Amino acid sequence: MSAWGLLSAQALSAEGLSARLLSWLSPEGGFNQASLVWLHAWPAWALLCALALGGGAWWLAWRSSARLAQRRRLALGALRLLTLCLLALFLLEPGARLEDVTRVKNHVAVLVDSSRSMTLPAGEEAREGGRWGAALRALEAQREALDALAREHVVTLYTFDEHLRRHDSLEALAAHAPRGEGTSLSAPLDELLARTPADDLAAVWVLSDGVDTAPTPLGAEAAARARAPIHTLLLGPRRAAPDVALAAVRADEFAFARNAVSVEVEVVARGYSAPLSRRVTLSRGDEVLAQRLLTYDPAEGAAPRVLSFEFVPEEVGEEAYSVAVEAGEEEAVTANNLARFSMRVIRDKIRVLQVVGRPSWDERALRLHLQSNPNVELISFFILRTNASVEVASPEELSLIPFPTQELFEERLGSFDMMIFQNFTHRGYRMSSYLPLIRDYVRGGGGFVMVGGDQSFSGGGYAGTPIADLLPFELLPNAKDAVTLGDFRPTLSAEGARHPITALSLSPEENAAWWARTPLLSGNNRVGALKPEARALLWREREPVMAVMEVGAGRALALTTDSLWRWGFEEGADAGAAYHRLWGNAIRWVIRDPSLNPLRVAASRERYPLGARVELKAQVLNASYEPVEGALAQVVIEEVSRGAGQAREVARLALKTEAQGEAAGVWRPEAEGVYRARLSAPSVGAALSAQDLFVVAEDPLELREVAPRADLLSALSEVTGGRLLSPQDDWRGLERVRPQVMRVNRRVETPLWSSAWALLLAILAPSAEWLLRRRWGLA
Amino acid sequence: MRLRHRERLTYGAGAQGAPRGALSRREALGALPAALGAGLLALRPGAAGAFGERERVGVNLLDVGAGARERPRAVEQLMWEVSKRTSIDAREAPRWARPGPELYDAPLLVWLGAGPCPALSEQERAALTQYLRAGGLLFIDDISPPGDDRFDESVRPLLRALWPEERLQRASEEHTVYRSFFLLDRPHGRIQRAPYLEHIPFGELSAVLYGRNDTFGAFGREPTGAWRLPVVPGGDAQRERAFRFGVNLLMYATCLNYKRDQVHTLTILRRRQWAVEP
Repeated sequence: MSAWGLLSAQALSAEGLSARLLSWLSPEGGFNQASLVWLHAWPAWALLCALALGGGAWWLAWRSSARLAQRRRLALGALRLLTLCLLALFLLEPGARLEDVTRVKNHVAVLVDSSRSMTLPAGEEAREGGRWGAALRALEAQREALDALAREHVVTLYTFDEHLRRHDSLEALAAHAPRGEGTSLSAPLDELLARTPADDLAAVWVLSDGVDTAPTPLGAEAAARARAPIHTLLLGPRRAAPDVALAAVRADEFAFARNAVSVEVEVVARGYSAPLSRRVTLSRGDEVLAQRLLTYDPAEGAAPRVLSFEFVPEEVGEEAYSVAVEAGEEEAVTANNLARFSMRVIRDKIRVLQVVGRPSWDERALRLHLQSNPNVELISFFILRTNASVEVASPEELSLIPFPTQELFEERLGSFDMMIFQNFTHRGYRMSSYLPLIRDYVRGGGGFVMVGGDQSFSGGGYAGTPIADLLPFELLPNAKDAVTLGDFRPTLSAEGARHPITALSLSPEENAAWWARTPLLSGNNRVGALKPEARALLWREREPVMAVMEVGAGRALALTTDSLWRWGFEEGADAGAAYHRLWGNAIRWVIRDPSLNPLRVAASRERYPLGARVELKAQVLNASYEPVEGALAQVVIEEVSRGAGQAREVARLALKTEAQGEAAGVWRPEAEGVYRARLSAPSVGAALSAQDLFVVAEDPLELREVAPRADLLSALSEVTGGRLLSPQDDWRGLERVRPQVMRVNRRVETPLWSSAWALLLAILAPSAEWLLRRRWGLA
Repeated sequence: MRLRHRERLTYGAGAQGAPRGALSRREALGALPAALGAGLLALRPGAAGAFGERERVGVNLLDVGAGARERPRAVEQLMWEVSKRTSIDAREAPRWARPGPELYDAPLLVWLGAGPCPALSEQERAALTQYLRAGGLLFIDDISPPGDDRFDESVRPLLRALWPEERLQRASEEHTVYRSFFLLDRPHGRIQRAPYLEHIPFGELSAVLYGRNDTFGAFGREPTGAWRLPVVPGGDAQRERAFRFGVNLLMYATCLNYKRDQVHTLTILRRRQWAVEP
């Protein structure tokens, strides 16, 4: 080794220079670090003075030679400069510092992508294990390099998908299966920095296909947080294999019945050189809702093509939907041609039919409430004139129209969510044939409310009719005098204290206080005994004022007074608030607003990968909305991929509720599809049930974009000072952060200037200059 | 749609032989989704009977000013007519109410005004404003003799104070009060001073209706049965039109804008011989 060796290109790096110095000055070993240093102890001002003197000396020499020929002048100037440099060398005393130091190892992290996209082919030729196999082979090839790195660093092996997992050895890592249902480069890096502070990180190796499915892919700023080079190795073909994939399906979780719903589909095509066209189909179960033709021309770029589907759901409920792209024979991956999702179709508006026997202040208040409720679509029919009314005008002078009973109670009956009979008698309208239809409508899931008045209940002639079956109490024989007059303040029953209809405040104490000071009501219909399955919420002594009952799949509410309007027309700042809240609660309960269902079941997620555990939570309340502890409940799980009408039971879980009426169950699906969990608890009502839909998908996000992303990995390396590697690269020589020195055991400083050659040169250079100056006639 | 006046729209009996002027089933079905409802020319076995007098539909008279008690037995006669002509279970006797809690006995308040409007205290004005904002309807009937504008001139500033954000404005000919039961084209009363109503809108409704035709002056009878006041220019037809307007007022107070529901709108347009163009 010579001094020239120190100046070679590799030696100019700190690490290379150290190695050269050690092999030159300490070939026998004993030191592990070397560096160049100045050994002088001159203060800075002295050096500056010396620099000024040297500069002056050279300038004087240069000026005194002005009359000589240029070549001679340059020769003298060079000799003077050499002399001055040698003097500077002796002054500064350059040396080599040799040290024996102890370092604390910092960390090298090797991150191997274990998401499902790593099961895809690695290149043109099919090799075992796909991209995952290629990653394992690359690690095996670098085993020696990893061992070498381990002498200076702590080398840790990880796999990652959306999260990081540590492995103790290459063998343990190889035993891991690439099943991750998504890839995020950002989250695992955060987790790595949480385990290993950035200051303690030497370098990171990332072996991946670069398919990042995170909503926000790793950005430059986030990557720079590592403060260490990230070297990346791309796994997968450089040229994308032919594949058409659903990159994204955007649909709202909720849609409104009878309103157009939009589903946006993003389709990507990779690896095609010629234009192609494929059918894209949107289905609900087995029913094809819409079909579009996708045309893809590679000349127009690789950006995803967006297709929009629109359809109008008619029925409320949660259903399974799917989007499928026709698969070509050349496609290596077809799992990404299908996407499933569920959508809950809810009412756009609650369709309420209000039938009123005669205009009144009570009718006025209820109409005002229904009209002010933005969720209600109101259809009203008021009886404005009777056969006893005096006719003083021809029909053309009146704004009256006939009562369309057939349209309302036969043809359009099913289109209403609830029906209100407000002081309305069926007698006189030839409605006897429609009353059974109304009863069947309620039993089938409709809502029914009867509001009191002299034409309601027995006064309306409903005793002995099918309508009586809907009412929560028995009716007295039909009589107009079945009323109790006088003012009263209704009292809240025990059930009413817990029932959502009469919950006017979230605080039970406030609620009870409000009910204790309600404005007085006036008069009520007298009725018979409460039916066993009914619940009275408000009482006037022994007469029910408000009562509710489940009627098959429907619900009924009876209010036996027509003076509730007084609560909606009061003096005071919050006038009417209780009236509106009470009716709002009543409507929500009658139409079975899901938030008021005493049975609740919910899956922990909307989508599960195949093989994952589905966690179900259930809650059981009784008809009075008290949590039921110890109730036996059953969750039936049905596969409904082909539509709710073709449900196929696949599992049944028996649960027992604990505190707060809650229970949990777990189920592991064996096949993909859309599933419905249906909860029932016979002890609180055989007809009651709740359900929730979830998707078990073989169409993970991971497989929607299968082309490797060299650009992403390259950018990641570039921003961190790392390299995008090729499989042949030796990892030992790659850039990484050196471990920090913790202790110096021995240090020797050797001067590099004190050699005979330097001394000889220092004598010869000024001597030569002196001789030449004399010869050329200078002083 | 655009309306063209006075072009006859002919229509006959519906598919089920609906009477002239009624909606056919197709028409009714078509109107249902638009959601509104229908007044009913219906058969009902007579006899009323609410849960006591308190729940009957009655009128409160604002006990303010010189004209408040100048139309004895007018309300009783109107409510009797309402009972006979409609299905409303009407309370004949009015109740007098000063601005305050007693206003809330009924959502309809009638103010019979004559002479200069008395100054109301701040508390009384606040009570009236709160009543209107709670949903009450105030009908002001200027019963002053022709040529006497003192009430009119004094009530307008008061209304501005009661409802600062909206000015009293002329009500459209399409206001629901003109078609809530009878089809009318203007307000009627004992005199014909103003061929229009003024109102203060409150959302889609009116908080205040103001007429200047002494409507309630056309209603009162002597104990002998004779009319207390003559109608001007005169005739039974004018008095009948005044009653019809009174009935419509009660229907508007109870049913609000029910007659603006789509199913009624089409019927009313046809009966008024307005054509409907797409």
